[in-house]
Amino acid sequence: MTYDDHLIAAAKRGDSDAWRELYRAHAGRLVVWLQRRAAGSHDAASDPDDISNEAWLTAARKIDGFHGSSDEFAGWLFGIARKVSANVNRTHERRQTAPLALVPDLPIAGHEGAITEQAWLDDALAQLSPRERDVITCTEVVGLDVSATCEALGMTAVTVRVTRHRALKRLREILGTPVSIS
Amino acid sequence: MDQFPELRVEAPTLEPDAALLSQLVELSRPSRVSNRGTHLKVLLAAASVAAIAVVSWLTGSTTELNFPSDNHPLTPAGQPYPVPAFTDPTQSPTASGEGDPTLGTGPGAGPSSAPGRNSGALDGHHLTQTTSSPSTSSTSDPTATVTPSGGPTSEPTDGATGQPTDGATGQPTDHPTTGVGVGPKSSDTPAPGCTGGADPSAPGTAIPSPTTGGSTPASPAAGSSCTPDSPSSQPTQPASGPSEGPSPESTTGSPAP
Repeated sequence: MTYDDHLIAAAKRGDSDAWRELYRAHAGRLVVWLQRRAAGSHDAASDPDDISNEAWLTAARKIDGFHGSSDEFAGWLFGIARKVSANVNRTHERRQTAPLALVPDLPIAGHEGAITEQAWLDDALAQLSPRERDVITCTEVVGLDVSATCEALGMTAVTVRVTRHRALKRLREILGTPVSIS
Repeated sequence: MDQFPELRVEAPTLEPDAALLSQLVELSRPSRVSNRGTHLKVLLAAASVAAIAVVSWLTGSTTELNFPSDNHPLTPAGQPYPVPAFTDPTQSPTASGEGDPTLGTGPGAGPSSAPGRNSGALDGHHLTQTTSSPSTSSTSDPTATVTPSGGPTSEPTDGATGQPTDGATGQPTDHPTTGVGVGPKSSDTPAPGCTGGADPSAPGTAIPSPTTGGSTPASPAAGSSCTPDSPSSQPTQPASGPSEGPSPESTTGSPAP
């Protein structure tokens, strides 16, 4: 039996401060994670910010069914975001829309290093399989633990560990070779 | 877990929008209310089902209790009404002691018309004729069969053979109207005022029918079974027929030993 911590209990009561604290703690990581997952698809309709907000609203509606700490709340929230993203992708496939391409990240003066690093990371993750990319994004990029990753991706702990091990092995091979940087 | 520290991205700390925060608060508050509402709905549904079940059970139980109180045995599907036990028509009526109204074989096809049935069993013609006069059964008043000497069963009757006997003498008679096993014909002279079918000892006698007139032959046995005081036993002269037999006065005679 998992008991709620004070932050989750306050959020269940509808405390705005509790929700603000939760948002500060997990919203940034959630957006980054969604951006990494959406790196392969240049669909403007599946905006990570929209999916993140939808995930937050769904979490607020289902908060009574959640029991756990604030860290466990992260995995639960990421799982909601994953399902929302999957629904959005299915909707877009069904509608056969022609989404507008995202505006490419143009180099800005003074931030060349950051942009280059971002591009290098995107290229490295793009060479992984979707499952490996999800696991690496959760564990290495966003910093979730294994349990939260299991909750977010709907996998077992063994699967997460094995997938992470294979993904890191491939990343070593990729980083050993020159990675094309756009 | 940090085998690739360069992969780690420093996630920015985002501040929630005011509109989004208010929505989060509103959605998290009524969620408990809706949960209570769900519980109430479940309880209400369960209570409704239980009430319906109880009412159905009570209705079924009371209906089942009413069946035994009717005392109506259930009949098989092929017999919509109970059928009485079958009696052999060749049996002596005195042995059976009761007539079979369904057979209609005697003039006194009523409950006390066993002799008629006996005679009918001996003569098929009698069967068909006597059944054509159902009103005769209504005249088979048991009181009319009372003879001066005794009750209705005092007349000697040869039940085994169906041999009619003379009610006055107690001897078998050769009177044509009381022939053995010969039932009355339509041309027979009716016994005036006699309820022939009322005489259990006259199997061959027919019953005077006020509607049919001469359908009742006169016979000593029939005459002996008539009560003189009875209005229905007033002697009427038949139009024809061999019923010139004994008068009603002869019925008062003492039977032959």
